[in-house]
Amino acid sequence: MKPPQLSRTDALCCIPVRNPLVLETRLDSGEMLLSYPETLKPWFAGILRRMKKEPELRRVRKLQLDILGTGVWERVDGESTVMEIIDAFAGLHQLYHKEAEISVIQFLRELGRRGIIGMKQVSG
Amino acid sequence: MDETSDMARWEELAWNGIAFQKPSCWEIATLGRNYLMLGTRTDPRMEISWGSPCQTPSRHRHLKQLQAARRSLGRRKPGLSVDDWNPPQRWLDALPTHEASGLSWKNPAGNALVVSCTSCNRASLFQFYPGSSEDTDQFHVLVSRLLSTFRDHAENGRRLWAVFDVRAILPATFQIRSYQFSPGYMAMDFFTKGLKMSLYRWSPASVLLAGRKLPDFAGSLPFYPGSTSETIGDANRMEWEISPSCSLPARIAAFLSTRFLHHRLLIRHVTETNRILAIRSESREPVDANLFDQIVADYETTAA
Repeated sequence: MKPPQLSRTDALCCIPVRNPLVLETRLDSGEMLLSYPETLKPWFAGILRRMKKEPELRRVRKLQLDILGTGVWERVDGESTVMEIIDAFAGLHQLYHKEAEISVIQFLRELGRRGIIGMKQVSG
Repeated sequence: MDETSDMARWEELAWNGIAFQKPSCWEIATLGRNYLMLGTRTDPRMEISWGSPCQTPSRHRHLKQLQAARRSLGRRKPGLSVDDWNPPQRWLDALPTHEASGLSWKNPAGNALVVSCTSCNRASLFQFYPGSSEDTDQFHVLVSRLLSTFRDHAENGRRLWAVFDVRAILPATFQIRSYQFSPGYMAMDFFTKGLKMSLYRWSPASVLLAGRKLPDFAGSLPFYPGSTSETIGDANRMEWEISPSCSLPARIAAFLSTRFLHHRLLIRHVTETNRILAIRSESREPVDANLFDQIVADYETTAA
């Protein structure tokens, strides 16, 4: 069954949460390097399960964030909502709000697609 | 951002022939050549689409525009019952130089206003969406304030362009040819006879210029004129101008060529707003220096 679709307000009030399996390394440039276990497609994970392959066989992937991405990653603290991260990002770089919103949402979506973060829905 | 408290702040929006003031918390959600949708962070609040000015006014034109608006709404909102509607008097009072007619629909509720300017005969279709918890009277006051600032033709031969955080004034003869608004980069190309004028804006400058200077950034641009051109300016401002030589063969070649041979480019780092702005002209004849300088002076970004 498909999960119920979130309204825009609900989506902006979600809290991004880091995957505890993600390792972060700060580079000399100040940028962040994330190492994360590869997220398998559900159909491929099913095949692996049938073949009784261990999850440890999953590859570790790396993602280097630029300075803007690093700033957003640091705000993903398990407490700040998407809206708060957008506001902080816009304020820090003097960005036009819409521009910050699009950038941050695209970035968080990409992190979510890779399984680096999840979204916690805040009730009420 | 609290919408209620932010209603006190209004800002100008001007795009392709129309201009009005709006609450600053109503941001552009969708932008087309002759279309704008504005909304708060969570809800759409208004749409506007508009046509070209018409030379020949007609008594029946407004009725035709109303019918066209009704058809357009029916297409875009299938299954919606659109009815005639008498707009509040304060809305009509806000548009003394326009003919206006109203339409309304329910679920979700909305009102449309078809206005045609008695001066330029341009027709525009406004659609307003009151918030579910919004006081109707307060909403009508807000809309009438917005409508009272509505302008749909250029004044003094100059036209304002003000979208997102950029603001420019160009001669009214300049037509927009293409535009791009993406995070970090905005570009608008304008054309008039024999002249192309492009306006660019990058942000955040602090990140783009981290570890390098403005000339390094300029050198990375696809339209960078190259090292042969002349460079003038200070640390936050650079300018190039390239023109073919004045010899007779060069002038004949320039006359026969279909390409723009005169180029002028100015890039500046606006430290106050953390932006980089650029103005670029390409033309058959050398661009009028006064015109270029005026556009440079009028092109600015507003603080976020």
